[in-house]
Amino acid sequence: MRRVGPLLTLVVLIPFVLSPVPAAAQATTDAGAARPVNADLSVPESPAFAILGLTPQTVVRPSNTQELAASLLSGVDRHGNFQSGLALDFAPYPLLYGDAVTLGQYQRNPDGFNPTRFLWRLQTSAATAKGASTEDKSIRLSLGVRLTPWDLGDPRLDSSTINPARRGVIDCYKDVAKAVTGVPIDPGDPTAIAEADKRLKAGSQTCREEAAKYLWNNSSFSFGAAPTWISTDGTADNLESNGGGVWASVGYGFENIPGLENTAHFILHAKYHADERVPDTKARGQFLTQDTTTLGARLRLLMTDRFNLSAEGSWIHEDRARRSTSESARIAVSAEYRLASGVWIEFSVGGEGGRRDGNNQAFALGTVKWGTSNEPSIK
Amino acid sequence: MAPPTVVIEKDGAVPVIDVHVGQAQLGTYFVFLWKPKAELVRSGHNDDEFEDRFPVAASVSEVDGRQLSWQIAIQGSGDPNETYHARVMITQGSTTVFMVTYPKTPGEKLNGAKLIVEAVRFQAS
Repeated sequence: MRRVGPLLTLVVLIPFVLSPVPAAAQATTDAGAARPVNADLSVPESPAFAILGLTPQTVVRPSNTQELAASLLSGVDRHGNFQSGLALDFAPYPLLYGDAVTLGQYQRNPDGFNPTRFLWRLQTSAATAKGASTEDKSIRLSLGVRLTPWDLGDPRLDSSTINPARRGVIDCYKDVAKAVTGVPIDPGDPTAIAEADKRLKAGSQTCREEAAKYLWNNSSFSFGAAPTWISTDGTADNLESNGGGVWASVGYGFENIPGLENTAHFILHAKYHADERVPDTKARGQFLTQDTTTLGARLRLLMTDRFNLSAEGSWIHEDRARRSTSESARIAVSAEYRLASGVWIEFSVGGEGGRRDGNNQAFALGTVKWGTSNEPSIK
Repeated sequence: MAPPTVVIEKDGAVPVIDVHVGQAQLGTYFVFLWKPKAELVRSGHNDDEFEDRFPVAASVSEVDGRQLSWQIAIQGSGDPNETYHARVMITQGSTTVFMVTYPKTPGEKLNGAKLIVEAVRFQAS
């Protein structure tokens, strides 16, 4: 296979070069709250992690764009190998051209195609994962892209001018802004300005918290794709193609169904990864090539302000070179707990059965996520 | 602190102010002309069909020696690391006589919402 190490290194560095935030500052930049209110269900799964198969859940949920986000992963993957990884997600259009985009331009044609909104929601990511066991010392890299063409939970569109049936967060914002800024403030009085700014912040926060209760689970659709690379011996010199994958997720928010409308979220997910190299469980240190198809479903339930549950089931079809195909079913239950504003700890347990090679695995993955989001508190 | 002085031509066109709020955040503005009591010139949002660029008075003589202030409320997602961008530009005819962009400190965060209150004083010559 063709070696792509130097090229990949350059590509991986592109996000850092393009970002207006210095790379050295990103660790602190990413550490902010992702969703600081009660409907926060943690930051979105990284598209690149998703294709590497290193999200704790098999089913990736459609979610909103984040300007900058980071995910750390450490645990055992579904092949039974210890993995540690890092993913950086960023939205290039808001980062590079966001200053020029007004809310009105974003809202145009709310029920149809709007190129500005389309580009705004384009999310890209770069992820690395390293195996740390004797069976798997590989380094895997992925560059992912995700699009969200349909999102009923987009707070920027939550306005009565777009949906006359609902007084949205934008309407609430306008009321607060008018109350604070509708009377003249002496530009030479910093105390008066500071006091008004404080009232604006408090009122806006209340608007977001109210909106979060009904926006967090609204229906949406996302799809993504990611090429991947692998170095089976863990050295940068031996990076080679690891195939690529595509995935799609559609979320249903139980709109207009009493009891579930604001507490439940059901997701269907499909993923296909071609020419993936995975550790051969029958030959230590060896890798084999396989195509993997995954179909899954996930139900999320909002339990309390800090605690959420999700359950998922999936069917995995693995078509391996020079081996019989394998079909297996996988179940996982995840709990996530908000440690602090925007910082969630997530723990998943599960297992799989039905594999013809008998290599059924119980697995456990723990992640700590943090990130920034441009519209987090009203999801 | 006294507001900056903006020199305009007394025989020129009426000054026009342009208020821009980017990052797809809601921007709400109120523009006042102080005579010396503040009188509302116009208010608006950056998500409606109305242009956010408009004359500040009916004539140059009406603004000469007077203070023009703007109050802009920017409201975002609540993410403490969210950035923001606003620009106020005053033109007379095809000439830009004043322009300021926010935040004035690079990298300053929105922190959920931000109120901007500033002014200039016109001097016609």
